[in-house]
Amino acid sequence: MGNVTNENIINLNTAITFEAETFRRIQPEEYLRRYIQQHVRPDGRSFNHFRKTTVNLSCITTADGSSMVRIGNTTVICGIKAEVSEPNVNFPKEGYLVPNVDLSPICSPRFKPGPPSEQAQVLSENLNKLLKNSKVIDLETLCIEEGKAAWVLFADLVCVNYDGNVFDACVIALMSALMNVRLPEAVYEDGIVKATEEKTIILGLIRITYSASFAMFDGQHLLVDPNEMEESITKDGITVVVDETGKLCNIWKTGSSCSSEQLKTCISKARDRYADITSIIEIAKQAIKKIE
Amino acid sequence: MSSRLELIGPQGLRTDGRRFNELRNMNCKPSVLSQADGSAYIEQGNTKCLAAVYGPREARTKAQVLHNRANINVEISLAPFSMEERKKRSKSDKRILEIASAVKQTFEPIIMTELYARSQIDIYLQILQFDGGTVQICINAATLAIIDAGIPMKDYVCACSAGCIDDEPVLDLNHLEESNTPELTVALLPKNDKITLLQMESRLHIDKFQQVMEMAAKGCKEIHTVLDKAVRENIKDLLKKSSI
Amino acid sequence: MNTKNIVTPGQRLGFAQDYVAGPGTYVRGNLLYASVVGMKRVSKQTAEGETLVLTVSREKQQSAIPEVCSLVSKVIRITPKEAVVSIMVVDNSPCKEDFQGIIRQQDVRATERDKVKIHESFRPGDIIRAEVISLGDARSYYLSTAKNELGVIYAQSIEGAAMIPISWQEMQCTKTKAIELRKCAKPF
Repeated sequence: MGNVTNENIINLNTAITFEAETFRRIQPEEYLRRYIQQHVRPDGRSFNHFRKTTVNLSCITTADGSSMVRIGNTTVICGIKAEVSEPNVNFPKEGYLVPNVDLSPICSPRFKPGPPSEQAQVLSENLNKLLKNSKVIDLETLCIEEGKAAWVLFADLVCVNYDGNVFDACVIALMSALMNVRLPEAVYEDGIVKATEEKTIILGLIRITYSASFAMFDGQHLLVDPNEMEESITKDGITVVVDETGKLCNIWKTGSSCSSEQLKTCISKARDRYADITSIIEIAKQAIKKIE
Repeated sequence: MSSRLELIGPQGLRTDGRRFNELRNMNCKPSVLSQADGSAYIEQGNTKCLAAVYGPREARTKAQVLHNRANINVEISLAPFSMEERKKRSKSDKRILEIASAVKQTFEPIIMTELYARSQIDIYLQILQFDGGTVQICINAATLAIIDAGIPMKDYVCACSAGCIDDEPVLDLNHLEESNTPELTVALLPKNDKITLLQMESRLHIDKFQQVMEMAAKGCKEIHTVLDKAVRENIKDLLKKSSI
Repeated sequence: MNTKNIVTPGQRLGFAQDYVAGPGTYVRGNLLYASVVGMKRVSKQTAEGETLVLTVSREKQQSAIPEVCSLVSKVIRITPKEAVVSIMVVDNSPCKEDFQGIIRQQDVRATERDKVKIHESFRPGDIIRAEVISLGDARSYYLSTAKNELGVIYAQSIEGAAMIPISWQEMQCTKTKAIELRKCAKPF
């Protein structure tokens, strides 16, 4: 397909006009391009505007830690369950943290029932890498008895509504659920692990990381927090993960090339976003304190 | 050695403080998901369920196409964190498939499928937290979601469970109660009291059957009031928004 | 906004002999019931027979389904016998998910139907306006472009530029002025 220049857009069959919704269906790229030319996006946001983000903590009482995150319409629920298992032979003092993302047909018509799609597996793997490389938790705190028993934290993330940018929502859900985990005190005696009824131990997070995702349109326009339509049209994207000190933890860049200037813009926007997310989570924590 | 659970305490209150004929606290909201054609969220006590309806849309496999009506497909998914013990229930778990099949058979005569030949209506149910009463909450959630999707139905389908503790019929069992007493689930069309689903998988004395069934039917009517109220509230909000 | 007119499925609306059942209602016995949630509306006609019409007032429109009317679709692939298209818009309301349709060789145009060559009428990626002629087989709807106002409405040339129709058989690329063969729709 070559580049469609400006003059071709004007020379289109002007004799045939379409309603906006029809045009959006037939020529989604053109539709988006016309909005971008006016410096606005189809849902009315500016290029730099993140959608409204809300966090609810402790929403699933059967889980040891849980949270529900909404970024615009994208909704992800994270539930963490703790089980006991033998630690890895090579790392006898460490427990495990296993994230798993589930993109089921309930969240969008694009997912068909069946085994986890490639997208879900990639998301799970990226979250896993993020947790390992950034050392979000000291896995040694999950150890009950060296070489014999350790906690395994299964973090299951279920997406119930898919409207773009699931990765950001998953990261926020995972971090806030981890902050929220309550474990019982466990003691290893004669081959059996005994745990108290009360769940009192709070997991200590060494580092808290949040991400910000961007889509790149036409090689020049950076759109922050793409929704589903924008994500499906622009295959290029950048995801930046920073921690509380502003240090860069992870960057994922897919698609065509971008300049280093654009990368720097992304990193600084990710830092600003970090501050916003922290305050949103504070509000959520206050909300549960009021209930307790 | 008495290992009998005290399901009904000395004052006649059950483990969660209810009387024998009280429903659990119910909370429902339609139109919660933007991607689905119709959706609903229901909480009955501690059981939480999310329903999404897609359709009518083109059938996925040609083998499922029916020439004169729409094909209804129900899928139930139990989140791994929904039960006390984490179990990654695969979709083809027999118990779940059986419940899905029961839901599908309940809705097949109620949804007016003749209007949508050769298409498919998908009903997806996600259980977020489990405390007993899967079949009933799935049916209630599916009813709300189908209404929200605008798919024509003959009537609401409301489901409720009832059981028998100490020879007394009790309404709406939670997980602890349903593991220890005979349980009967009934799905009803409230307008003309027709029963569309009746399930019982344990032993119950035939003398008690009539009472338990009547109690379940009454429970269904109460649930109908709650669902109807939620639907009307929702449409009032929508009308307000569109008239501004 | 009279909220008293809101009806829910299963609600009784009246006697079947007084009204004609419109969309959103059904008849059982001698009573008329509602089958969807919405506002109850009665349309009065001068002749006998009032039609009771229930419409669902909501922003979310139900996804359109191909009926016998004009629709807009995109060509996905072509074979010598037929063109496979993906139906995207039905009569100005877009479909949430695409449906599949087929345009057979004999349905491309009205004259000289057997001499039609598909690759000279459509190419993959073209946007065409067509009409449903039949619900087709299990796989797809059967469509036809055998009218003057049906056919290709937008296409991109090999170079990737938009093309303008110059006759019912030919389109010209705006960049290179090269001519390509298509069965074009008459611009309104």
